[in-house]
Amino acid sequence: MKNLTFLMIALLIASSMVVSAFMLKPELLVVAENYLNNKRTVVTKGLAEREVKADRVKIPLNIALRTNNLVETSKELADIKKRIMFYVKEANISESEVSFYALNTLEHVYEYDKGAKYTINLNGTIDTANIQGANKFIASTKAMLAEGINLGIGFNEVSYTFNGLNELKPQMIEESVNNAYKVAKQIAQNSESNIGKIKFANQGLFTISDTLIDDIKLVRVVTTITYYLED
Amino acid sequence: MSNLVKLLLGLIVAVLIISVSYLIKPILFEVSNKLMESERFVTVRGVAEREVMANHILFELKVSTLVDDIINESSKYEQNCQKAQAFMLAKGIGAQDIAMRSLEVFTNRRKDIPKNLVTCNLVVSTSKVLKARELLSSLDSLVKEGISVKVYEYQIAYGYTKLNDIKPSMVEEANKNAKDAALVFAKHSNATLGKIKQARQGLFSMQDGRRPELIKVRVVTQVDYYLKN
Repeated sequence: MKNLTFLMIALLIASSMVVSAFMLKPELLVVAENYLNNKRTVVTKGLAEREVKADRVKIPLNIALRTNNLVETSKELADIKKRIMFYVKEANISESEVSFYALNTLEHVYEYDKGAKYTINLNGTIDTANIQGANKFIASTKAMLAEGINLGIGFNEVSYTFNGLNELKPQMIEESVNNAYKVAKQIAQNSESNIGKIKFANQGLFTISDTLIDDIKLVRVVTTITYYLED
Repeated sequence: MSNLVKLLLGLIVAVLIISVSYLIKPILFEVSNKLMESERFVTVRGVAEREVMANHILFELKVSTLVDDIINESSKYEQNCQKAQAFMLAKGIGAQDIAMRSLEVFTNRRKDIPKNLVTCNLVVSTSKVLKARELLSSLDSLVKEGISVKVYEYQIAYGYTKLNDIKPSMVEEANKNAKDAALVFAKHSNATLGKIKQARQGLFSMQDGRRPELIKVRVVTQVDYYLKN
């Protein structure tokens, strides 16, 4: 009698275990499948590129005058400043966008540097959003040179920049995402499956670089997207 | 009697096992979904830029004088130095903001000019940035008096000390900008943005602004958003 009770208890517990195993079986299978599906992905990259017009330009203004007489040359310097301002106005650039920020008079103290006693150096910049005006001003440096004014604008010293990235960002990301999606779809087709949701996406860095034309900039972004593959 | 109790106990244990597995059923499902979701996120970057007015300026103004005899002609360079100082004061720089460093003497290597170049160094450190700017752009009036002055562009340091005040609002702006980018991804995948998984505030940087006295403050944040659908 005692043995029979133990047997029955054992049977009860055993069968309840079997029942619960059957109950959990489909869930466990789903979990396993989820796990498998989670590993089934395709990673693609999408590129978006756009050429944009620079929206800001910085032109250096460097004037160097060799002289023996500071007082006289300072008058000449004032005249040159006036002439520069004349051309600035001519190019429709606002006067407030011109700054002269430093001045130094250098004594020529070495034997090899004989001739004039001093060089007066005046440094400044034009910083403006008026690209057209700036280009006009640069073109007029030729006329200034004819007047004896040398601004000393060297090769590559005029710097154009683009600052409107934030407005461009959403549409460029969209474009790069679409490009990435196209590739993912192609890959999925080849393996006879479908593209699912985005598992992971990285916007990537936006870069702004120079083109062969001074006032045109290239904005570029590469987005990386990992898609789920579904059957 | 004791057998019946044992049997009942066995029954209770059996029922408990079944009900536990019944309870676990949905949880298992949930856990696996959560695990999957935890791997679904989008990494985006947002930028905030602001141009601020410098509130401090530091520069060195050198006044040079050519003299043959340093001792007997001392009044010459002393005068020039004083004139430059007076000019600064006239332009609104406080006397307490001007410091004078020791004199420099250079022996000229050229025979046809006076023997020595004596330079006095005036260091200006002030919060009156606009007044200093005005001073710097009118240095030619000192030259007009025959005084040789030197201020080198690379030795002018503009400072901004209130970064902490604008930091929160700039980080907020950068985060909003990042969120806009994240929404593009969410829309594409018909998902919604979940919580922030991880956010990294980048370093604040300061660059030259549109005018010398303006400083461009910039920060980039990187944010990981969960994707849900």
